[in-house]
Amino acid sequence: MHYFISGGAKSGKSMRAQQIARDAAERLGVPLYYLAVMDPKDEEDLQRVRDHRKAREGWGFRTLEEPYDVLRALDAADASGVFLLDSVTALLANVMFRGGKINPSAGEEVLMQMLSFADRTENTVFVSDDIFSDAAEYDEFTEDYRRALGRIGIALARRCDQVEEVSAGITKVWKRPER
Amino acid sequence: MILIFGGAFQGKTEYVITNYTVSDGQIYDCACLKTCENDAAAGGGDLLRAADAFLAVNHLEAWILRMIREGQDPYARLQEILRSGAWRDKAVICTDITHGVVPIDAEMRRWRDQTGRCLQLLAERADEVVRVFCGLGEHIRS
Repeated sequence: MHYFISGGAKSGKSMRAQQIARDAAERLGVPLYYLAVMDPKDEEDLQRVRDHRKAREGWGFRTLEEPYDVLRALDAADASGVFLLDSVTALLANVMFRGGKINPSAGEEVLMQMLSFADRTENTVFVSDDIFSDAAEYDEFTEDYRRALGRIGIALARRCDQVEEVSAGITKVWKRPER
Repeated sequence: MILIFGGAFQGKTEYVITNYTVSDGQIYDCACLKTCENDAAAGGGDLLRAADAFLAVNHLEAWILRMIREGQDPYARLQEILRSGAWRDKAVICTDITHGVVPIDAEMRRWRDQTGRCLQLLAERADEVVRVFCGLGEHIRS
């Protein structure tokens, strides 16, 4: 069963996603993987990676580092395991702005990558960010990024069995598996 | 009237087309008022006069910003439109831009506040209010 989880910054969505992933792995008796997509660029990023690692300590995650193509992680993993991808937002930023250049097909690439990952795995928890409700007129690149993330979110929400929005640590379920 | 709102790029327009038998050509898009060919036909951004030709109004938040930039009061204008009854059978789609940090720019602040007020007014008068998130709709009031 695939999950799509979104919400604001520090809303508790990562914690919620970790719990879902761990519980599923325990229930199914399969390996538990964390797809680390962060590509640290400075000390602040490194600190964030350390914080996230610390938050996962003792949870039983095996970390797979793939900041550009998460499908490659499947070469070294059991596809029947449980995967936590935190976050689609970071992965899209990596692919779109790789090497200081703008990749105009990043949205399409990440969308295909996400749908393939969902096809090739059985239990993935996708985490994304709700960055769509502020009052600002953005430049073209930021707007392209927002459009792409929105599109990927809609596609993943359609593809996943359960869709949740987390705010203030509280979960609202938008979609449940059909019985 | 039906109010459909939610964040940007969440599939609000698609939701309306799928659920309310409205086609793309029957939606008046306020976000392209300057470039659309149908602008003149629709009364140059006059939403009251536009009402006859369209089943739905999209990107009301863009219209609100335009009103502010033209020195007009979008809330008062919206009250007028609603009072006229011209939108009784319309779907109104608006991006919820009210959640971010309070903008430094005064115009953006007015835009944010006016959009919030207009959303309240529309929701109060609407028969149905739907919030769209990642392509999924929830009737927050029926």
